[in-house]
Amino acid sequence: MAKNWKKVAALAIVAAMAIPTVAALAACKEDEPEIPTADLKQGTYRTYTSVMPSNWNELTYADNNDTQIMNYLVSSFYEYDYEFDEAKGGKYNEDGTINADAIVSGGFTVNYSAATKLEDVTSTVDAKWGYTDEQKATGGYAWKITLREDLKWDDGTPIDATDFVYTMQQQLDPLFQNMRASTYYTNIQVKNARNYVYNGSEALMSCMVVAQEEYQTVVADDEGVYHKDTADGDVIYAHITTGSDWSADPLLAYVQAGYITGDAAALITSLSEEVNADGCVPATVELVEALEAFCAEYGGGYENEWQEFCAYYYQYPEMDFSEVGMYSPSQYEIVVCLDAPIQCLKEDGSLSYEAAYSFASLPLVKEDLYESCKQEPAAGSTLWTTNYNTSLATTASWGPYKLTQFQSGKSYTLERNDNWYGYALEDNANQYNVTKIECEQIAETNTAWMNFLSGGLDSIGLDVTHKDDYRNSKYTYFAPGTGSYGLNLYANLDVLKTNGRNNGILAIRDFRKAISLSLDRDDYNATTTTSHQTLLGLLGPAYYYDVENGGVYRDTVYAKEALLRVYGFTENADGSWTDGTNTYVDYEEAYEAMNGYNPTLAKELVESAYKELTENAEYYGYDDSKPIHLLYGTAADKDTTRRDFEYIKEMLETMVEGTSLEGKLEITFDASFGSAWATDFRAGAYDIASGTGFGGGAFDPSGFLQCYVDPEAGLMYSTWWDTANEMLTFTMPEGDYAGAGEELTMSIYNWYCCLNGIAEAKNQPKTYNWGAGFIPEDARLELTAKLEEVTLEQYYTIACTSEYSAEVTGAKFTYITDEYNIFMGFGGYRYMTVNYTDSEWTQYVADHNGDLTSEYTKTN
Amino acid sequence: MYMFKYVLKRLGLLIMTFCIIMLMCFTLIKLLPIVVTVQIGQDANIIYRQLEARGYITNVVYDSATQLWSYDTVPILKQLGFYLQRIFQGDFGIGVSMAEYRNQPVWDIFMEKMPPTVLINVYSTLIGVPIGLGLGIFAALKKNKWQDQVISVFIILLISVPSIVLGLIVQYVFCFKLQWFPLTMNSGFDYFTWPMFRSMLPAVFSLCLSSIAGYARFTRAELTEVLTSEFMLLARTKGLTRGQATLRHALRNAMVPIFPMILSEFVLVLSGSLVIERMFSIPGVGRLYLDSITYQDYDFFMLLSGFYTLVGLAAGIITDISYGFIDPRIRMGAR
Repeated sequence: MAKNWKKVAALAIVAAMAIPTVAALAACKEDEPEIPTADLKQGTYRTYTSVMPSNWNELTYADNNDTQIMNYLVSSFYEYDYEFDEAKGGKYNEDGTINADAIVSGGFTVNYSAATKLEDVTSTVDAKWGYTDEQKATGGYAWKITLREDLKWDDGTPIDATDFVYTMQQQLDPLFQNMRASTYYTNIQVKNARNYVYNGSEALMSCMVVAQEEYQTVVADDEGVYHKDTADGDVIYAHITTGSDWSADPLLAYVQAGYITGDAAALITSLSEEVNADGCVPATVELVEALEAFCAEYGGGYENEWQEFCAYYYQYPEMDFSEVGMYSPSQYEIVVCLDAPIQCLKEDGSLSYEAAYSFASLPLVKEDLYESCKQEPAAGSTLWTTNYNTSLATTASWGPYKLTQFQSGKSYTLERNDNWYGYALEDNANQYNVTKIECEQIAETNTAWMNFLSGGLDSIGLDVTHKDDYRNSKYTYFAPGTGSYGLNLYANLDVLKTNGRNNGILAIRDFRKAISLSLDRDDYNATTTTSHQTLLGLLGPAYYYDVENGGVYRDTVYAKEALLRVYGFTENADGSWTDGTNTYVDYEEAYEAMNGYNPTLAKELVESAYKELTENAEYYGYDDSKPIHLLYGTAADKDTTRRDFEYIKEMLETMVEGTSLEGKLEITFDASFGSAWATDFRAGAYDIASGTGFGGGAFDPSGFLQCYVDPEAGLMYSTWWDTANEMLTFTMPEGDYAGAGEELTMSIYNWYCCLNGIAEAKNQPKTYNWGAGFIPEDARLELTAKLEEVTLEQYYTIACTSEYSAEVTGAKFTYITDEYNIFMGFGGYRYMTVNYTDSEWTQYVADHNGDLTSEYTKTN
Repeated sequence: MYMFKYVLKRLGLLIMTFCIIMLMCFTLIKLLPIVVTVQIGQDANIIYRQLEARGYITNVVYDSATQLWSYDTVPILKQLGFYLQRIFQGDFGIGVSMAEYRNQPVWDIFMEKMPPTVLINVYSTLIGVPIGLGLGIFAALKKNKWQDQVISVFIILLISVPSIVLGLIVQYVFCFKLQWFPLTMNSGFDYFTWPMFRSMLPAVFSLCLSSIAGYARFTRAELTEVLTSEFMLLARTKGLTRGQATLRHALRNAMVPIFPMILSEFVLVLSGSLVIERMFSIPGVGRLYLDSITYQDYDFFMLLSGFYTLVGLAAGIITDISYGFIDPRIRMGAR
């Protein structure tokens, strides 16, 4: 009986404890109500492409065109979202719909998506990764990513950390030479990634470390052959029949031209019969003596200057994947070890913009499918290939959409992937109402427009032909881009002298500057482009140096003053600025007034260039009896290129009117360069490349300069500009960092490398690390502006146009906001509002008699 | 027997000519300098290594002194040997440089894109030939009357207006304004359904308009000449009606030059109409051949060269043989 009472008492106590607990839990639940499912319309978005994607494999895709499918099949560890103002009600309305009014202008947040945690583990990773104490203290080199446990492929197959590690091994597999492998040793510098890809291959490396200053340490062996560092080190080779650091002309050319005579000439001539495939022979004591004698007579008298004729073969080490900096310590954890740090976390431990910008995801392939798609090398080839993600059957998705139809050269369809983890996330509630995306290839602009106006397409890019009718439409959205375009002028005198076009004048800076000042950029852009904006610098207004606070590089005092100096303004002692005619109170006022157009000064410069040309006719290979021929080259003969050519031609003819060059300039059009237009320009096949430029890297203005000053990046159009040897003296701003306040002289390339924190990795003589986060941002901005100024002042590149695209979006869908956000665009498919379901849309179009022209030209 | 020997001889010549043309094609495309384009974020080293691993170039070396890449081209004959080895194994290769077909099997793409081109042109021929011949015959029979004048003006109009303008008119009027047809061809592979056929019709009309004009003009000219021949007078004096004489004698004689024209035009259009295919989004072979040269996609170029060469040579034989059927006086291979 007593036992029973005990039981009753125990039950009563448990009940007494449990009831309040359950009540408290229920109350907590009430405090955080679930977001109600809003009654929103869903529909199919129909779009078009002029070129169909063919290879949406993350490991191998060749260009951005392929990302139009790829972007929807993959997910991110972290992703951007709008910042919603809590004071205005936060992200969601009471009915669960998105509260667009609460979107903070220019604001953003970074949230976890496929990952649940990100930790900096630089100080705790295995010693084999070789991080120094300093690196461990600063952090940012090794990161541990914890994955969600519900990641799945579209067929339901689970995904874990080993899939990512497997994929990275495939990405870097030297047998495949995958196009995107370089992402992991140039952008995200995973330890040993490059060595694993290059595995055992060799490259011919220059002996010159820095011109007239530092060369290799060399030692002759018993047979009189020079080696690098030690007698059994890499053999030093001399360029005999190929160009070298000394000159593009081979050594043999100096013999033939009579600069080298006697025994030395005989030796070099005989060696020219023994050169290897690269036109080189081992540098012997005898040959080096001959080179030293030549350098003593014609060089600058620097120690070891003869090495400018020499090089050595460097062999990349054999490497196992276990030495590559990526592994999975547990089923849902990945550790990535880097050579260059990334600051993915803010001081409070939350995700920084860098996390979603530089480190948003790692490549992922579905192992069984990928293995079945591998193709062995064909006869005569050693290259393994794969057709993974090139067709419906070989495609797998772990993103919000999956591929459900693909017809090569015709169309594709993406549909909602119900196995995507993201649809269950609170952050995504009541979003992604575009349930299907249908894309058709329409190459002809007129066809696309008719399709759009008859309701068959839901958006279209605004082109020059239609811009007047639709630029003010209420359906038109404008978006700035990073693309910076302009004229590139060929100025390599060695080539200009021999091209038969009598145009050595292009090598004269004043002439190129005259072209820059003759270009009325506002008029040029209004005439030749849809909606692009005038650009005076190398970087447009979409480059941010301080992403968190919306700091735009182009708006900084350093960037503005640099442009003022480039376009002929000078600062007075009282801080006012003058262009020689007008005086402006401050740099802001001068900058507002500047348009880069000064035809009067241009004509003066044409005169001075002509004087220089005629007084040194032989040097410039100029023949006064012949016209000066400038060849405008392009890839294809199209309306747009013709229109551009006509504008440039007229501009150049106007420039020389009333000058000594009047009637002597002949400008012609050549559209025969096709896909080789860039290579041909760099080789000097034509003189003017218009509409050329670069884009991308919106949050890294300093890094973007690689396109203009980094010869190793292979992007420079002005390949003749030897930035590795052209010196620049600059005083670094005061501060608490290495080099602060010092007047330093180094090559432009070295300055660039220091600015981006890669000087040590690039074996530069000066190895300051002034990368982002390592020195005050102001100092970086000042140096970036200086490098931009120096580059612009060469006038090899004449900036004209900044990307600014326009899109007309149909009535079926509306973007959540018409204010462009650098991270979110207009909200994309994720936030798009569906105004009409598919069946409602059919009726809507029928109600308009199949022609929506009058609707789409409405301005409000 | 004469004919059999003749056909055998022509087939032998066909094979020999085919081999020579293919050898020339392979050599010429391989003689073009290789274009290497490095975009932002790409590693030039990987691009050169890919070319090396594909067996196009060898001895690839980057010279950091001159910042130039150097390489030797693998001897063309050696490359040809490997190519033939692959072909005999049934491997036609994969797309390499054309953006729309990278890493996709060349043969599969070709087989996928051929049907729309063939169908559009078959439909165009089926519609164009009877209408063209009919108009030509009618104009010849009504020579110099108002009917002939009207047809002639119509023909001149169709011949003078470029196909791009004709296509645009068809598309704007019938597809956009009247909405009788879709603006572009439907997606999918169900080529023999009514919706698909309907979506092909604007392209078919645009293609066959100029063919109709060509056939009509040629037929009128040939028939007019034959109708005034003496043997026609003889036929009529033998008691044949005008219709009988025209159908049995005049038309058959006039067809001797017309029939090969139809055949050759059909072969020509197999290569696809670049303009019409682009305008109506036909997933055909129109641009494939041209692009394969522009982008130096070797495997595509060789397959398409082989196909068109073979079709062209075969058409030549068929045309020659067809003379014998149309005109019994012509005997192939007879001494």
